[in-house]
Amino acid sequence: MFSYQIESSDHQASIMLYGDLDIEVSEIVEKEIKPILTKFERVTIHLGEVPFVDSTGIGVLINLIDTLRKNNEHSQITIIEVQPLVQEVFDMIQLREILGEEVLI
Amino acid sequence: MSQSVLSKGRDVIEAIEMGLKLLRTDRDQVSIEVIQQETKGFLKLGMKPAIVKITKMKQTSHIEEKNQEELIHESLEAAIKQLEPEKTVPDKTIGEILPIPPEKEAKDPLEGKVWIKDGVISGKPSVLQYPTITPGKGVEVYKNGELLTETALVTGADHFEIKTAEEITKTTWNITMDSQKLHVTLQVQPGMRKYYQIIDKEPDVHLVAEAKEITEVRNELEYKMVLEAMEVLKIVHGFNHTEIMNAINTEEPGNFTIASGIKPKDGKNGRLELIVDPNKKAGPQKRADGTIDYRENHVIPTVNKGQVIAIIHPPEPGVPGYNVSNEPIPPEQTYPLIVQTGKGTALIEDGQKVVATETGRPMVERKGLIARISIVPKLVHFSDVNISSGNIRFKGDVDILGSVEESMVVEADGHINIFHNANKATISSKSSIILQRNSIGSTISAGKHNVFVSEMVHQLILIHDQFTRLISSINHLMTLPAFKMTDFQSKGLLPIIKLLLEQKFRSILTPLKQFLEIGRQGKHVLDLEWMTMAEQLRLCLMSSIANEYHSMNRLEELADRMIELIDRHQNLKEDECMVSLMYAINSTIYSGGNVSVLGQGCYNSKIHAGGAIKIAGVLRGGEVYARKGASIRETGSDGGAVTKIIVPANQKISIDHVKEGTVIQIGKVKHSFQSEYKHIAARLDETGRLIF
Repeated sequence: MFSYQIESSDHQASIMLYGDLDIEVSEIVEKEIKPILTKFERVTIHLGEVPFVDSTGIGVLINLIDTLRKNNEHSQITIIEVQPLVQEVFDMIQLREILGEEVLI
Repeated sequence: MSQSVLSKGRDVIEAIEMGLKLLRTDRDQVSIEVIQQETKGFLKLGMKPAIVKITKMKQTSHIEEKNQEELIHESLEAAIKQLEPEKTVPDKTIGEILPIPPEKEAKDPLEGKVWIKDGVISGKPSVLQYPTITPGKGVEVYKNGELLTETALVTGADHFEIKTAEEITKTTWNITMDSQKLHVTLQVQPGMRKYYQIIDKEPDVHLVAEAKEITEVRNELEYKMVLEAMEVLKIVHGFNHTEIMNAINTEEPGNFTIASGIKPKDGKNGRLELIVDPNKKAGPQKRADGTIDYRENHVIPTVNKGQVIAIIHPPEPGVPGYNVSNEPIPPEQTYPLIVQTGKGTALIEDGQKVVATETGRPMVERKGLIARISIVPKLVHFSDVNISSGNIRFKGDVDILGSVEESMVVEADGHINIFHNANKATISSKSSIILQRNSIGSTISAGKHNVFVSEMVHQLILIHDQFTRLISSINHLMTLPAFKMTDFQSKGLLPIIKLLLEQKFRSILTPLKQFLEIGRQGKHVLDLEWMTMAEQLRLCLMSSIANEYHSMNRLEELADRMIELIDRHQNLKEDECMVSLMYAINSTIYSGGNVSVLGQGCYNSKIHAGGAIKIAGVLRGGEVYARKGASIRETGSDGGAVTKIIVPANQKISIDHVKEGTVIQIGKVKHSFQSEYKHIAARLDETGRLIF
């Protein structure tokens, strides 16, 4: 099952996702994660424990980042530790170009 | 092989001693033949030396006294042959040195010299002078059995031999026939004998042994051999004896046609001879003095009831030919022309003639061996088209002898010929439109399409290209191991499509929006199929709610329908459609084929031509698109009004006088002119850069 863990200091938050990023997750992201993360200027998203994604899951991720940016013009968001097979999917849909060079590391 | 020398001496004993010295051997290791006894003369006159032949034996043996006399007899004959130089073989010769002891009195002119005569090297060393010999071109000189590679001394004891090479090639020949057995070709490569003849050399202290190359052509081909070979190939007909003789006598390699059959004479298919030419191009006519008469450009032929339009000629059969094996070759089959009579025509005289039963313009459509002939009716309107006459809509051709006035419509399936102006009118024909004067604020459209369809097709091609790539990207994505299809049940392919359109296929949206926009603008004239396509594309790519189009099957079906629609409308033959007018202002002109503006020019008008655009005057303001290139006398204006000329990447734009404000675009490359230019011919070079 999907779970997450957030570590935070002043302006900075780090979120670890565990499990598949798919349609099931959209509600948790919308209702729980989004309200928490909007408080921070710098957000790091760890995908090291995400083995599978689906289109809706990627859509949710894009939507989350867009919301954070709209909320705070100076926000800095980075996604890290993407698994190679998931990276293949991201490459296919050109996620780097969608989110911007600096987001996907 | 035993080594032997001929040795000369004043008497037999001296000769033997000389010979033994030459062979560097003893008397008991040789056999000796006395070839000539010495003859004593008086003061050298009539004096003959003694000659002996000394042969070195492998094993020591003695000549049996009994046979001595016989031996002498035999070897005398051999010696005489050797002494007769005429009989020596020139190509392979054994030369021998006949060393003669130097005479003490009366100096011999040959002394100390070497010479070659009849292929034999002879030398006469003197006490102070040993002559030398160098092997030269074409010969191999052996000295005592060893091949010489450089200059060698000729001493009395040496034994010389000259060898020359010989090369013989045989005559080769071959008989071939073409696939129809119509021509028999004899290929001959005559044989050759190449040999070297040793060149005689005058006595000298040094000489070079040389030979000259002699080539002898030897064509060994015989008449009988050719005939036998032809018999094997079953060639019995159409011999060319002169050529066979030429082939067997030739000294050069060559091909000879030694037999030929008779070609069949092809007949003619049935054909239609038109008495009136319906394809006579409507357009300006040349006067006898070479100038152009723009007013005589309405030659559209008309036939009357009962007039014979065409004669149908039956096929003419061909004459069979014969091949070289005397088998007949049938000529190509000929077929009759099938004539289908359409509206206003009938066949008479057993289907040999086509006659008009109505008055109008004859029209012939051909497809292989089928010709369809019909009469297009013609409407002649004798005055202006206005409120009192009403709009004109007609199935055939229309001639309007006056003008078409404000808000009036003329529509025809055939040619439209307007003798005066079109003022804020709408003229459309599925064929050509000729406006003898001007178009003021009018919309003129010629062709089976209209402006909208051609634009829709253009955009749909762009959409289809991206769409098929979108489908293959989706298929690819589904094969990736980390990609889950958990959302497919509830949302279909919508989330994937949305993701891919976000960035990767964003470029599909521009033509798609254009397509929908043109569809909206032209919904009154466009066929339903275009509106259906627009709606389906919108639901598939722009909807935010999942629908029936978001499945792989439906995507593929849609791609197929696009291709079908493109194919059906893209390659319509519109060459016969054309628009010709004198002057256009604030007008929109569409033509499936060419557009010619023959008079003063074109102001603030929009022209779209499926063919070429030719403007004899000025193009000022507006936009023209010419699928097959544009040729314009003057563009732009001193005031800098923007004038745009667009052609596809493989076409040219030529303008005699370019003024400020002219923008040309070839393919996707644009150029704006900021100043004047004369005589430009713009095109793209190999690297895609615009040059002029």
